[in-house]
Amino acid sequence: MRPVVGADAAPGRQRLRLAKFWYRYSQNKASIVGLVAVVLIIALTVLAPYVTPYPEHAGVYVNFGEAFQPPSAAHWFGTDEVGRDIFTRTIFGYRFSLLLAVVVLGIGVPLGVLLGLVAGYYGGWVESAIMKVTDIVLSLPALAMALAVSAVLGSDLGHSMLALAAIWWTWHARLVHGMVRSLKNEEYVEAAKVMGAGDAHIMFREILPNCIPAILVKTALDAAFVTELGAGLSFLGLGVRPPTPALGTMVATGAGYLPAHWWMAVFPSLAILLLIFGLNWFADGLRDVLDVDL
Amino acid sequence: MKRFAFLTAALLLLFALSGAAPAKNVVTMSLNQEIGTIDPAKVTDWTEAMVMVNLYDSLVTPDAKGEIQGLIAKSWTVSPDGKVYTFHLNKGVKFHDGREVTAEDVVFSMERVLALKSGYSWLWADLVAETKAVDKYTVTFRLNKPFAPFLSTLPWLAVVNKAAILEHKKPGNFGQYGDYGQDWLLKADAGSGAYTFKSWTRGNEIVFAKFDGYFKGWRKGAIDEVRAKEVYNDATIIAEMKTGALTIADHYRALETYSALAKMKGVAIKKALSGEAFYLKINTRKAPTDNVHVRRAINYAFDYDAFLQQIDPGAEQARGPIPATIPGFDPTTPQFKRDVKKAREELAKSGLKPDDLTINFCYVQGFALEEKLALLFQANLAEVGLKVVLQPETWGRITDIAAKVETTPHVTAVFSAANYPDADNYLYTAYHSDAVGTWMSMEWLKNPEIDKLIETGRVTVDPKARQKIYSELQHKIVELAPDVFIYSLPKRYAMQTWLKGFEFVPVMSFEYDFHKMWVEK
Repeated sequence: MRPVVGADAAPGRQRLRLAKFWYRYSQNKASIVGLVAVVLIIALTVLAPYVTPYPEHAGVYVNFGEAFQPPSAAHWFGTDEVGRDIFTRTIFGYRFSLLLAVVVLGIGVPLGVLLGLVAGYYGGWVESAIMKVTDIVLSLPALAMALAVSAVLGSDLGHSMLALAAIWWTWHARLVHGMVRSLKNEEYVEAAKVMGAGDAHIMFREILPNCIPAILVKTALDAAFVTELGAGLSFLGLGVRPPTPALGTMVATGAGYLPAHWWMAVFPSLAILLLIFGLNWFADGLRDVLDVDL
Repeated sequence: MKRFAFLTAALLLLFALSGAAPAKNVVTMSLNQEIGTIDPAKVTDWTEAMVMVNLYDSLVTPDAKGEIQGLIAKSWTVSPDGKVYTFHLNKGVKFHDGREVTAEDVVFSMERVLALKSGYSWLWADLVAETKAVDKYTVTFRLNKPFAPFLSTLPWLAVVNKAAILEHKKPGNFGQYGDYGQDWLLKADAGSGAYTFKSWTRGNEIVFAKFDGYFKGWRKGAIDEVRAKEVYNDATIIAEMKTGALTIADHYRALETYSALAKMKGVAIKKALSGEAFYLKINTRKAPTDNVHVRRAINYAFDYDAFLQQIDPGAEQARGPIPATIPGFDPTTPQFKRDVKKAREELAKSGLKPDDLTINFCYVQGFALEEKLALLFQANLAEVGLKVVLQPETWGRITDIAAKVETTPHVTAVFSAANYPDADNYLYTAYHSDAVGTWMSMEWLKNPEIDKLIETGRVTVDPKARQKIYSELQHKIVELAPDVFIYSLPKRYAMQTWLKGFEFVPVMSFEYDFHKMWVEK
């Protein structure tokens, strides 16, 4: 039995439910670590110009005299090949990762949910048309697609985002489609129909709220995936233009200076790792709380 | 059974290694890329050229200064109109099968490369009207038009053994010549070079053996066997240089690799200024860089010293479009030096508003040296009020966008090496109006006065008159500031100190001529 969300609204009960949520979430240590990591990273990223020691190093800046400095009190993560502070650039580099996740999922998820909902609810030729297209798009590997789009249109952040969003909706379309197909036979849907509710009301007010927990968990997991893809893209040189920092680009550049200047590749790699693990553990906790089976 | 075979092989190997025979002088070098072909008529890149230089001889060869010296040819004359070149051959030059090299073979070699339309044939395709054997040791080339750099192109004409090729020809599209021996020349050589072909495992290793009958003879300590193998990982290079498994590390390794090797005992680093010019090509047909003041401002703003001291230490700033190692270079050509004040003055003279002063800078994505340069360039130009948008692209895409003036970026970083050691090679391909539309000519200069001078230089045979034209060209081009002339790439080679006689030659792969080297242990 899935919890029915959105039906009750008494403030006292809501507080009680939040406490219950938190209790269930905090049962898993990893989930807490994940939450802390994600919140910390978001906060650092938003406040980057104020919390980093050398914000000018994220922009047009070179100082060859300071190049290849190992980690020290002045430069926690050392400096890169043109003398920029790697700690500063790592924090600013998160901006690209998070922006990519927000934009790709911000476009992909609503689109996928809408299509899945329509396909599952109406059935018939609408369903087969939408799901056939979904299957076709699903067969395209995201990274290859992003590379192809960049090759044709030029490597640019906007193009990479579009390419990923153009693929990402399919996962949500499939997920929602499956759920709607079973939910539309539930008694409360029948009841709403009997009471004369329109299609839009049934789809968005009766069925959709019951899909939201699953969508949320999937979205949180996706955020980790998109971040990883974003790192992959920037590792291959797509995405942001230098000198704007991106974690993948920093790893790619740093790899050329291994092993002597190990800090150039290691710290940005760890930063990617932290974000991906954080998002994954956060999504795990969310899954426990919302009791979703994906 | 298998194990037995393995054991036997291992024992044999051990025996071979500890062998009782007098030790052979073996030299092993690394290659950073595959060898595509060993047919001398199909050579295009440095690994193929390295094979050609050792297995084949040409009429002439470039020396350490890039000047042309005789090899198979003993002497030559040029007709007063510059259209007929006559070569007198050395007697007693032997092909690897013992036949003597004759004028017939030279004629056949030219006809073969022109018929196959491959490799360096483009140098001669519209130029050579007729190649004729006057007698056994005299050959003439008649040209359609005078072309002063002709002699400099001839090191690329490897002389092949006509009789041997015809013996091994297979049916093909070339009438009486069948397939022109193309099939056979993938597994054998037909040359008279200092080394003979021994084996080639595609994608791995090629082995040459000393040709005892070489007409120039051999010195004491000559190298008996050369092994050139593909090594892609710089860590492997370092490890094998340390154990001595590798004698020479080629010139395409990371700077950091050479620094690591320099610290190794028994390893020497050789450095040479190559003829490979590194310029920032400025699109002179697109606003705002169509304005000569903006181009001069860029030239004044760039910090040459930072590049030459911090990014690639040890080289000198270029003077104009022709590298100092190339005949025709004029040492009085003026240079821009960093001067922020002058840069600002030039920008003021341009009459452009600050909003118009955004330019894009294109370079090869992931190429560490160019990436550092791009960041430096961006910071330098920001200082004088020019906003630079960086545009890293793959090399393939750069060659595409160079085709149209609209898609050519405002500034593009390009390395270009000479095909033949002559000033013309750098000027015609970059600045002549007929040559626009390639990555070599991203300046889109199209200046009638420059065109005229380049054309005159090509047909002027008298060396003094020719030098005057090229001096004038170099001064005029710097005046127009169509490039930021940075430097000629310093090439680095690492080798075991017991290898002697290595000498840099400013033409692709001619420094890897193992006949000039010897071993002193």
